[in-house]
Amino acid sequence: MLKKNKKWILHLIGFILGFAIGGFIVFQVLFLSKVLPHGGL
Amino acid sequence: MFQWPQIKLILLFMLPSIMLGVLAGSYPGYQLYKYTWYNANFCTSCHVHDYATIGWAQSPHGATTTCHDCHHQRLRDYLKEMIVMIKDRPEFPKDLHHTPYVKKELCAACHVSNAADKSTITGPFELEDVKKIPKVDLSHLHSLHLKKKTELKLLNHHELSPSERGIEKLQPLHEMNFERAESRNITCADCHGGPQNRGHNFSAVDSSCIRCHQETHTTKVTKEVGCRFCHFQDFMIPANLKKPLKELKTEN
Repeated sequence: MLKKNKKWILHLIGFILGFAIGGFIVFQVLFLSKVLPHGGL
Repeated sequence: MFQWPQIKLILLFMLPSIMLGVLAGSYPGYQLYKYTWYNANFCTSCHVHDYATIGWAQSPHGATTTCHDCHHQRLRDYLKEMIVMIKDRPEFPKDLHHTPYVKKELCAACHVSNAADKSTITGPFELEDVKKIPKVDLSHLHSLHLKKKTELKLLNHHELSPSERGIEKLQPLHEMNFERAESRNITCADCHGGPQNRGHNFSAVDSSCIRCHQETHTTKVTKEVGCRFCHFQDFMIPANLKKPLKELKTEN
Protein backbone atom coordinates (compact mmCIF):
# COMPACT_ATOMS: atom_id res chain seq x y z
CA MET A 1 0.00 0.00 0.00
CA LEU A 2 2.66 2.48 1.00
CA LYS A 3 4.75 1.72 -2.09
CA LYS A 4 1.78 2.36 -4.40
CA ASN A 5 1.18 5.73 -2.76
CA LYS A 6 4.85 6.62 -3.12
CA LYS A 7 4.78 5.85 -6.84
CA TRP A 8 1.88 8.16 -7.43
CA ILE A 9 3.61 10.97 -5.57
CA LEU A 10 6.79 10.42 -7.53
CA HIS A 11 4.91 10.79 -10.80
CA LEU A 12 3.32 13.98 -9.58
CA ILE A 13 6.62 15.42 -8.42
CA GLY A 14 8.16 14.43 -11.72
CA PHE A 15 5.38 16.14 -13.66
CA ILE A 16 5.64 19.35 -11.65
CA LEU A 17 9.41 19.36 -11.97
CA GLY A 18 9.20 18.80 -15.71
CA PHE A 19 6.52 21.47 -16.02
CA ALA A 20 8.73 24.03 -14.29
CA ILE A 21 11.84 23.04 -16.24
CA GLY A 22 10.02 23.03 -19.57
CA GLY A 23 8.38 26.38 -18.99
CA PHE A 24 11.59 27.94 -17.72
CA ILE A 25 13.72 26.70 -20.60
CA VAL A 26 11.24 27.73 -23.28
CA PHE A 27 10.79 31.16 -21.71
CA GLN A 28 14.51 31.73 -21.26
CA VAL A 29 15.45 30.63 -24.77
CA LEU A 30 12.84 32.87 -26.40
CA PHE A 31 13.39 35.83 -24.06
CA LEU A 32 17.17 35.78 -24.25
CA SER A 33 17.06 35.46 -28.03
CA LYS A 34 15.42 38.90 -28.02
CA VAL A 35 17.14 40.63 -25.12
CA LEU A 36 20.75 39.74 -25.85
CA PRO A 37 20.86 41.12 -29.42
CA HIS A 38 19.04 44.27 -28.25
CA GLY A 39 20.86 45.21 -25.07
CA GLY A 40 23.48 42.59 -24.35
CA LEU A 41 24.38 41.40 -20.88
CA MET B 1 19.44 7.59 3.20
CA PHE B 2 19.24 6.88 -0.53
CA GLN B 3 22.30 5.60 -2.36
CA TRP B 4 23.13 6.77 -5.84
CA PRO B 5 21.86 3.61 -7.59
CA GLN B 6 18.54 4.06 -5.80
CA ILE B 7 18.36 7.73 -6.80
CA LYS B 8 19.06 6.76 -10.41
CA LEU B 9 16.26 4.23 -10.29
CA ILE B 10 13.82 6.78 -8.88
CA LEU B 11 14.75 9.33 -11.52
CA LEU B 12 14.37 6.75 -14.25
CA PHE B 13 10.97 5.87 -12.88
CA MET B 14 10.02 9.58 -12.86
CA LEU B 15 11.39 10.22 -16.36
CA PRO B 16 8.14 9.72 -18.30
CA SER B 17 6.25 12.11 -16.01
CA ILE B 18 9.13 14.61 -16.17
CA MET B 19 9.04 14.49 -19.99
CA LEU B 20 5.29 14.93 -19.93
CA GLY B 21 5.69 17.88 -17.57
CA VAL B 22 8.31 19.45 -19.87
CA LEU B 23 5.88 19.21 -22.80
CA ALA B 24 3.02 20.60 -20.77
CA GLY B 25 5.15 23.44 -19.38
CA SER B 26 6.39 24.56 -22.80
CA TYR B 27 3.13 26.27 -23.71
CA PRO B 28 2.87 28.40 -20.54
CA GLY B 29 6.55 29.27 -20.99
CA TYR B 30 5.81 30.48 -24.50
CA GLN B 31 2.79 32.47 -23.32
CA LEU B 32 4.86 34.07 -20.56
CA TYR B 33 7.43 35.14 -23.17
CA LYS B 34 4.64 36.56 -25.35
CA TYR B 35 3.29 38.55 -22.42
CA THR B 36 6.65 39.97 -21.34
CA TRP B 37 7.72 40.86 -24.87
CA TYR B 38 4.57 41.84 -26.74
CA ASN B 39 2.18 43.14 -24.07
CA ALA B 40 2.69 46.73 -22.95
CA ASN B 41 0.96 45.96 -19.64
CA PHE B 42 4.03 44.04 -18.55
CA CYS B 43 6.20 47.16 -18.84
CA THR B 44 3.67 49.68 -17.61
CA SER B 45 2.94 47.66 -14.48
CA CYS B 46 6.13 49.21 -13.20
CA HIS B 47 7.51 51.93 -15.47
CA VAL B 48 6.14 55.35 -14.61
CA HIS B 49 4.21 57.00 -17.38
CA ASP B 50 1.74 59.81 -17.44
CA TYR B 51 -0.28 59.15 -20.54
CA ALA B 52 2.61 57.84 -22.61
CA THR B 53 1.06 54.39 -22.81
CA ILE B 54 -2.24 55.78 -24.06
CA GLY B 55 -0.36 57.93 -26.57
CA TRP B 56 1.48 54.87 -27.85
CA ALA B 57 -1.61 52.65 -28.03
CA GLN B 58 -3.53 55.24 -30.01
CA SER B 59 -0.67 55.99 -32.39
CA PRO B 60 0.27 54.03 -35.54
CA HIS B 61 3.17 52.64 -33.54
CA GLY B 62 0.79 51.04 -31.07
CA ALA B 63 -0.43 48.50 -33.59
CA THR B 64 2.95 47.82 -35.14
CA THR B 65 5.54 47.84 -32.38
CA THR B 66 6.24 46.66 -28.87
CA CYS B 67 7.87 48.65 -26.07
CA HIS B 68 11.02 46.61 -26.59
CA ASP B 69 11.37 47.65 -30.23
CA CYS B 70 12.47 51.11 -29.15
CA HIS B 71 13.37 50.82 -25.48
CA HIS B 72 16.36 48.52 -25.33
CA GLN B 73 17.95 47.50 -22.07
CA ARG B 74 20.56 45.05 -20.89
CA LEU B 75 19.75 41.67 -19.38
CA ARG B 76 21.06 42.76 -15.98
CA ASP B 77 18.56 45.64 -15.97
CA TYR B 78 15.67 43.17 -16.08
CA LEU B 79 17.07 41.47 -13.00
CA LYS B 80 17.43 44.82 -11.21
CA GLU B 81 13.88 45.70 -12.14
CA MET B 82 12.56 42.53 -10.56
CA ILE B 83 14.05 43.64 -7.26
CA VAL B 84 12.83 47.22 -7.62
CA MET B 85 9.33 46.00 -8.45
CA ILE B 86 9.17 44.16 -5.15
CA LYS B 87 11.05 46.55 -2.90
CA ASP B 88 10.30 50.05 -4.21
CA ARG B 89 7.74 50.24 -7.02
CA PRO B 90 8.00 53.67 -8.73
CA GLU B 91 5.12 56.12 -8.70
CA PHE B 92 4.19 58.94 -11.01
CA PRO B 93 5.05 61.80 -10.94
CA LYS B 94 7.68 61.80 -8.21
CA ASP B 95 9.72 59.01 -9.78
CA LEU B 96 9.62 60.31 -13.36
CA HIS B 97 13.16 61.65 -13.74
CA HIS B 98 13.99 61.62 -17.43
CA THR B 99 12.68 61.05 -20.89
CA PRO B 100 14.05 57.92 -22.54
CA TYR B 101 16.32 58.76 -25.44
CA VAL B 102 15.59 56.61 -28.44
CA LYS B 103 18.52 56.42 -30.84
CA LYS B 104 18.13 57.47 -34.47
CA GLU B 105 19.05 53.97 -35.63
CA LEU B 106 15.83 52.63 -34.13
CA CYS B 107 13.68 55.06 -36.11
CA ALA B 108 15.84 54.41 -39.17
CA ALA B 109 15.07 50.69 -39.10
CA CYS B 110 11.57 51.44 -40.46
CA HIS B 111 11.67 55.01 -41.70
CA VAL B 112 14.90 55.21 -43.67
CA SER B 113 15.67 53.34 -46.87
CA ASN B 114 18.43 50.73 -46.70
CA ALA B 115 18.63 50.90 -42.93
CA ALA B 116 21.78 49.27 -41.62
CA ASP B 117 20.08 47.34 -38.88
CA LYS B 118 16.54 45.97 -38.87
CA SER B 119 17.13 43.56 -36.01
CA THR B 120 15.47 46.01 -33.62
CA ILE B 121 12.06 45.29 -35.16
CA THR B 122 10.36 42.57 -33.15
CA GLY B 123 6.75 43.73 -33.02
CA PRO B 124 3.71 42.52 -34.88
CA PHE B 125 4.83 44.44 -37.95
CA GLU B 126 6.31 42.04 -40.50
CA LEU B 127 9.67 42.90 -42.06
CA GLU B 128 8.13 42.62 -45.52
CA ASP B 129 5.61 45.33 -44.61
CA VAL B 130 8.40 47.62 -43.38
CA LYS B 131 9.40 48.10 -47.02
CA LYS B 132 6.02 49.74 -47.67
CA ILE B 133 6.55 52.50 -45.08
CA PRO B 134 7.45 55.82 -46.77
CA LYS B 135 11.16 56.51 -46.30
CA VAL B 136 11.97 59.97 -44.96
CA ASP B 137 15.44 60.18 -46.46
CA LEU B 138 13.73 60.25 -49.85
CA SER B 139 11.65 63.33 -49.00
CA HIS B 140 12.91 66.86 -49.59
CA LEU B 141 13.22 68.61 -46.25
CA HIS B 142 13.77 65.43 -44.27
CA SER B 143 16.85 64.55 -46.29
CA LEU B 144 18.06 68.15 -46.04
CA HIS B 145 17.78 68.17 -42.25
CA LEU B 146 19.27 64.73 -41.76
CA LYS B 147 22.43 65.81 -43.56
CA LYS B 148 22.92 68.86 -41.31
CA LYS B 149 24.62 69.25 -37.98
CA THR B 150 23.53 71.19 -34.93
CA GLU B 151 25.18 72.44 -31.77
CA LEU B 152 21.98 72.46 -29.77
CA LYS B 153 22.02 70.05 -26.89
CA LEU B 154 19.47 67.26 -27.12
CA LEU B 155 17.47 67.98 -23.98
CA ASN B 156 15.80 65.73 -21.52
CA HIS B 157 12.19 66.36 -20.56
CA HIS B 158 13.05 68.04 -17.27
CA GLU B 159 15.43 70.44 -19.03
CA LEU B 160 12.61 72.10 -20.92
CA SER B 161 10.72 75.05 -19.53
CA PRO B 162 7.12 74.23 -18.54
CA SER B 163 5.76 76.39 -21.35
CA GLU B 164 8.11 74.79 -23.90
CA ARG B 165 6.60 71.37 -23.22
CA GLY B 166 3.27 72.63 -24.51
CA ILE B 167 2.60 71.92 -28.15
CA GLU B 168 -0.38 74.15 -28.78
CA LYS B 169 1.38 77.35 -29.84
CA LEU B 170 4.86 78.65 -30.51
CA GLN B 171 6.63 79.49 -27.28
CA PRO B 172 8.22 82.82 -26.42
CA LEU B 173 11.90 82.70 -27.35
CA HIS B 174 13.09 83.93 -23.98
CA GLU B 175 11.51 80.89 -22.30
CA MET B 176 13.16 78.25 -24.49
CA ASN B 177 16.35 76.36 -23.68
CA PHE B 178 19.07 76.92 -26.31
CA GLU B 179 21.88 75.25 -24.43
CA ARG B 180 24.86 74.48 -26.69
CA ALA B 181 26.92 71.30 -26.79
CA GLU B 182 29.28 69.46 -29.08
CA SER B 183 28.34 69.53 -32.76
CA ARG B 184 26.29 66.49 -33.71
CA ASN B 185 24.10 65.24 -36.54
CA ILE B 186 20.46 66.23 -36.40
CA THR B 187 18.53 63.24 -35.18
CA CYS B 188 14.87 62.19 -35.36
CA ALA B 189 14.30 63.10 -31.72
CA ASP B 190 15.18 66.74 -32.46
CA CYS B 191 11.77 67.12 -34.07
CA HIS B 192 9.81 63.90 -33.47
CA GLY B 193 8.94 62.40 -30.14
CA GLY B 194 11.73 64.20 -28.33
CA PRO B 195 11.40 66.12 -25.09
CA GLN B 196 9.22 68.71 -26.83
CA ASN B 197 6.59 66.06 -27.20
CA ARG B 198 4.75 64.21 -24.51
CA GLY B 199 5.59 60.53 -24.53
CA HIS B 200 4.94 58.72 -27.80
CA ASN B 201 3.47 61.73 -29.56
CA PHE B 202 5.74 61.66 -32.58
CA SER B 203 4.22 64.60 -34.45
CA ALA B 204 6.78 67.27 -35.25
CA VAL B 205 6.06 70.41 -33.24
CA ASP B 206 6.78 74.04 -34.12
CA SER B 207 8.91 74.57 -31.02
CA SER B 208 11.38 72.09 -32.54
CA CYS B 209 11.70 74.34 -35.62
CA ILE B 210 12.14 77.45 -33.48
CA ARG B 211 15.07 75.96 -31.58
CA CYS B 212 17.19 76.26 -34.74
CA HIS B 213 15.29 78.73 -36.90
CA GLN B 214 14.85 81.46 -34.34
CA GLU B 215 15.49 84.36 -36.70
CA THR B 216 13.29 83.12 -39.54
CA HIS B 217 9.88 84.65 -40.28
CA THR B 218 9.55 86.63 -37.10
CA THR B 219 6.22 88.02 -38.29
CA LYS B 220 2.87 88.08 -36.63
CA VAL B 221 1.49 85.63 -39.18
CA THR B 222 4.12 83.03 -38.34
CA LYS B 223 3.43 83.40 -34.65
CA GLU B 224 -0.26 82.89 -35.29
CA VAL B 225 -0.18 79.88 -37.65
CA GLY B 226 3.19 78.30 -36.94
CA CYS B 227 5.84 76.76 -39.16
CA ARG B 228 4.15 73.61 -40.34
CA PHE B 229 1.22 75.51 -41.83
CA CYS B 230 3.44 76.43 -44.80
CA HIS B 231 6.32 73.99 -44.64
CA PHE B 232 4.56 70.70 -43.91
CA GLN B 233 4.34 69.65 -47.55
CA ASP B 234 8.05 70.28 -48.07
CA PHE B 235 8.72 67.39 -45.73
CA MET B 236 6.57 65.08 -47.81
CA ILE B 237 7.52 65.84 -51.42
CA PRO B 238 10.14 63.56 -52.94
CA ALA B 239 13.71 64.81 -52.74
CA ASN B 240 14.37 63.84 -56.34
CA LEU B 241 11.42 65.72 -57.79
CA LYS B 242 12.43 66.47 -61.34
CA LYS B 243 10.61 69.75 -61.65
CA PRO B 244 10.67 72.47 -59.00
CA LEU B 245 7.38 72.80 -57.16
CA LYS B 246 6.86 76.31 -58.57
CA GLU B 247 6.79 74.91 -62.11
CA LEU B 248 4.34 72.18 -61.20
CA LYS B 249 2.00 74.71 -59.59
CA THR B 250 2.17 76.93 -62.71
CA GLU B 251 1.34 74.00 -65.01
CA ASN B 252 -1.69 73.03 -63.00
